[in-house]
Amino acid sequence: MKKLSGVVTLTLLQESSKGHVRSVTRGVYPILVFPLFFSLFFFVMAIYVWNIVAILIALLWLIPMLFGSVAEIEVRDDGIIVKRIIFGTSYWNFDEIKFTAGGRILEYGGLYGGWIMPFKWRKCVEAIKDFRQVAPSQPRRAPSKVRPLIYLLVPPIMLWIIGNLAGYFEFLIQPLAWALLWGVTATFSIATSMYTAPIKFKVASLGKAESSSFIGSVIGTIMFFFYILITS
Amino acid sequence: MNYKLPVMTKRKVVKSTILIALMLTALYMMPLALAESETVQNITVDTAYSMIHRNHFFPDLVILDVRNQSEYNINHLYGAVLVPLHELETRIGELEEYANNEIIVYCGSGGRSEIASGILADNGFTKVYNMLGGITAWIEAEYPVYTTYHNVTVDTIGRRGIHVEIEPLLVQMGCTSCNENQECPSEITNIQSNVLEDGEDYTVTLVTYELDGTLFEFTITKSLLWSDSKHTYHANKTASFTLTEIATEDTSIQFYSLNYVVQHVEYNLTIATNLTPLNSETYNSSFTAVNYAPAGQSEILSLELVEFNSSVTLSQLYTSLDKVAKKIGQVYMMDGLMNDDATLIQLAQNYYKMARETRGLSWLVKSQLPEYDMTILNSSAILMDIWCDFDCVVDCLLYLVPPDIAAMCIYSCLICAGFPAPFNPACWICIGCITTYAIACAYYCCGL
Repeated sequence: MKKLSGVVTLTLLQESSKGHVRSVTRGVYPILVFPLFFSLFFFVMAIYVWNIVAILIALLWLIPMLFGSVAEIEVRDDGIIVKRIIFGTSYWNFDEIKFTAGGRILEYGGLYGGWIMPFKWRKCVEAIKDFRQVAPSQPRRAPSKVRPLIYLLVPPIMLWIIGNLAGYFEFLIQPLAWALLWGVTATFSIATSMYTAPIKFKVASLGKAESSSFIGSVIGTIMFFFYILITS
Repeated sequence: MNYKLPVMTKRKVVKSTILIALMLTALYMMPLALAESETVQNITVDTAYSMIHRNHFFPDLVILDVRNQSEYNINHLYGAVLVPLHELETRIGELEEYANNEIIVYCGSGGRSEIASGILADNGFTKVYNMLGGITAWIEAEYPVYTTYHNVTVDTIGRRGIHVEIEPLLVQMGCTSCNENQECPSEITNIQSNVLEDGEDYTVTLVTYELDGTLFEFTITKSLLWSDSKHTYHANKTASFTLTEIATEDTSIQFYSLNYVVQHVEYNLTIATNLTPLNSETYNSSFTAVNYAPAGQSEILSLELVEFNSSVTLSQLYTSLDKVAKKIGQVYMMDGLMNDDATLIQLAQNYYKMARETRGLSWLVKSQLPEYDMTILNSSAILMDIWCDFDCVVDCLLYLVPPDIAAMCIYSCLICAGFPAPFNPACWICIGCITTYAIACAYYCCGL
């Protein structure tokens, strides 16, 4: 069996992992439960008062939250695969995961991974506990954990500052232009950040660059429509 | 003189009793018997009342209100089903199960119900009764209505006793928007205000506005005459008494304002009174607004318009409002218990709290503002209970914060959805944003 490491290609992973699935379960991300309920509450209220703009905004919020909150965890001989509906599939070696809260929470990948609560956590623990990593995963290429974050957070913050300064100096920016700017910034920011992040993931059969661009575009489009709707 | 009663046999007594009973039944059923001959029958409010309250004759009776939602909210007959006239044809399917039941149709004054009755008859409804005069005639006949809107008249009798009369509020819903045939009032535009002076106890503000293209301006001078605050473990109470002077080039007006705000752990309550002075010993008029759970754009759950028929002092005004609130509370409590309506019972409890706070304010005026506790010639007040409104919550969530901040919030939540780990700062920005939103909107719209 080939060892899965940070530099193994996706194709190799799929080939090597065929027929070695130990356990499959679904799980929920606890940190997203509150935002999920809030967006659900917002959506229900928007339906109740029948405010179309509110319904659309709530949907833009609810759909990513709904799809982002749950994931399928596939325990394989060489690591785990976390499959998420719209945020792609990511791959983690056993030495990158650990259990906390008596096994109820599965932590993987640190800052760029997630904390997930498997629904069948006992089964998940059972599937992993006897496994010994044949060899530790190769150290990944000097991953910077700060740079992707800068890519992610600084552009929108800059945009926000520019917007406020424009307002302060009474410089008018057309809402459409501003929405477009937000959308494009979010797209590039997220795409760059995901591409540079020390993680391996994919959307459907796309490569990392395409997957990053796809996720960036989806979030950029959401931001564009959100801004258009909120200023309409 | 001996007078002998005619001797009646037992048989005669039975016969007479049956005859009288039959005559009474015939008399009572006559309008309804006539109704059998036609699909739509016009009935008076008295007949409608008889039909509703003798429900052993009409166990499947349906009461249909064809007014608008806002009119229905103000008052309606107990147990009435609302289907506004403009929706009746599209929603007729909802009523199909009652096609062979007696249906009393009513509206504001009888116009819309006549049309609605025709629509029902055309759609195969066999026993339709159009209530003539609508709910206006019903209220005038003093039959009971479900309402949380009242007209209250207060007469002070003697030194302590007051007489309170409570009647359902009759509201005629008219056209509220201007069209080509109506003369619309001119709109005030371009309102601007600038603070000219901001002292410790006073502020001077210049307000300018445009009306029909002409620029007007006036100054508002607000002087704080007295203030007080009290903090307990469950409530913060603040009171202030200010003198406001509004001056234009030609004229100026003065009025006093007493504002009392209670921020309780369970509710917010404001009592605001504006007093127009007549001379140094008398106020000409006063208007008081008592607002439970205040909020900018919330739905009004109840509204009581209070008119005083005699002059009172400022402290007596609050004592009277205490009694009015208690009395209204009793009305709601009785209605709530009789109809098993939790909303009315809750409303009653809210009015008891209003009563308690107005009583407290009366004491405060007596003890701390004796020099302003003067006679008021004409007084009126409005008591309102405002409830959390979903429209307000949705609007608040959409528009409370500037779009850029809202965009930052949603952006951070989307990033968090991508990398849902506690180490991810975007998640904490997202959760912080949502919590702030939720608290702010709950406070703004629900008075929580």
